[in-house]
Amino acid sequence: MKKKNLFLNSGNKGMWFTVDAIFALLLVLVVIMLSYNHLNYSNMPNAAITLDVNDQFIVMDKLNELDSLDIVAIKAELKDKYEYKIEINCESSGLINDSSAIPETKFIFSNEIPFYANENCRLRYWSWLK
Amino acid sequence: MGNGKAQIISMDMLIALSIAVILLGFLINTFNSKIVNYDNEIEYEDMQIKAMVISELLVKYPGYPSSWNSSNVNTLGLVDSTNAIGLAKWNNFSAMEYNETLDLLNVAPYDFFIKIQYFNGTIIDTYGVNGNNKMKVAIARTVIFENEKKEFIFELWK
Repeated sequence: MKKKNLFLNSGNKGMWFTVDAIFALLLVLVVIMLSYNHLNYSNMPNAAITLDVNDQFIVMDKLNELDSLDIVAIKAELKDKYEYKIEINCESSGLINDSSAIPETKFIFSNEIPFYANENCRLRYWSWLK
Repeated sequence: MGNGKAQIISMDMLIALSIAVILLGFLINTFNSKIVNYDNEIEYEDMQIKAMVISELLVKYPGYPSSWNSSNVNTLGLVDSTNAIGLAKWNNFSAMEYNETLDLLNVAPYDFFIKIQYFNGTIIDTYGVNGNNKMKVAIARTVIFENEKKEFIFELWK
């Protein structure tokens, strides 16, 4: 006896509804996950780092630790949980540069502070987490 | 026995519905857990902002009046000049009741803990209630304390 193809008899509408539903739900899931990942992105930790790094240079200026104009010595006094690139520009001494490279894939905080070390100077720094 | 069409259509529908319900359940569950995480994330960011603002107030401003003591303090601030903590102010602050400083710093509904330490982590002085909770933010600031460079850690927790 020939076996009756039950699916052909009843049609395959149910299966296609299910496949449609699966695709629709997967699409919704993907959109929600992407939205969540986007919303999850936060700059707050970076904001806290900028405060700390800025404080360090303010304190060093107050303690006259910038007066040496020696970038290696200045870097040695900074917290070692961050990396730094420093550039000092003074009226008479000119530009004192640091050969450190700034990474392209990290959050970089940069600022410039004026200070006096027997001449008017400006220190510019770039800082990032190790 | 009939031709079985009605039964098979029901079976198809049941299978489709089951899969749809399972997927929908998974979706709702995932969505809810993400929403809870997102709520926590928002609260964590609020805590970070609050901690940054309070730490900024404490290490950048002298307070009001500028030579305040525990009986006339209106606004708290710990420094004599920017980032230089005044010993007298720190001692006045340390002698104050925790609940009073909590109100003055407007920390509620959170609690706070302050550490002054060397860069290597050796603690010099502390104030507040130390919490070991899951929701905790710590803001590190660099200050001058007793004429030396120190780390001022402000922790906010729930």
